[in-house]
Amino acid sequence: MSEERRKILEMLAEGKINTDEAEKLLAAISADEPEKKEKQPDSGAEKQSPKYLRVVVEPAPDNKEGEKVNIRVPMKLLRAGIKLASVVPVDVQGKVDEALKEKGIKLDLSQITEDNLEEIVESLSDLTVDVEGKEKVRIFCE
Amino acid sequence: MIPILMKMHIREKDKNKIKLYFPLICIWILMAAVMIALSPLILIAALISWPLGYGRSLLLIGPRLLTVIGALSGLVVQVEGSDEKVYIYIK
Repeated sequence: MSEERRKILEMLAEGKINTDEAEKLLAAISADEPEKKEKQPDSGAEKQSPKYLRVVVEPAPDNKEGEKVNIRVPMKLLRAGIKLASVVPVDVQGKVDEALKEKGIKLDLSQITEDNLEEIVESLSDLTVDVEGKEKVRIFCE
Repeated sequence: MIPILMKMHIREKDKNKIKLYFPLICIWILMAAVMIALSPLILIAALISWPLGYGRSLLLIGPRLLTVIGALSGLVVQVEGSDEKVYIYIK
């Protein structure tokens, strides 16, 4: 609760103002709050958008024959790739969707538009996949 | 910024190490020339195929492809086995 709200409630409790006046004051404060929030500079706690998608595969310590893989894909490449996919003709998109379905991936390319592109990329920032077996696989954004 | 240099290092057991620094700018200049030369043909093809639904794709595929190429900068692919190592970095 903000200091201003606390003061209004205290004044109401002490009988210095009536309920109508308190309501008006609280409404005035509520109207000012979004403006204040907009003016606040970006805090350090705010999440930065990731720049790269990383895929790291490492063999288990006892597996000396395993391969190490380290791939760093720029996020802007993903964005550009999705934009490129959006200009693929509809009938070709259908064929791609069918091929993906056969592999067990249900993805409708026509649903990916430039409008929800940023949403998809932003969602990737929370992605972390860790798989440990014969090899350790990590997929994350940084 | 478009990628200007590709570094490629390949190392195989008992073989010479290959270090390649490839100036991508040469490819982009060549590609730009080809695209400019082909643009009237692409425009005609787009107009002809517009009723079939391919016109928009034909018109946009070039610029979108350029965007993909431009976004390649920063890509790293590194694969390291017991006998070989491949490292590709696009700067």
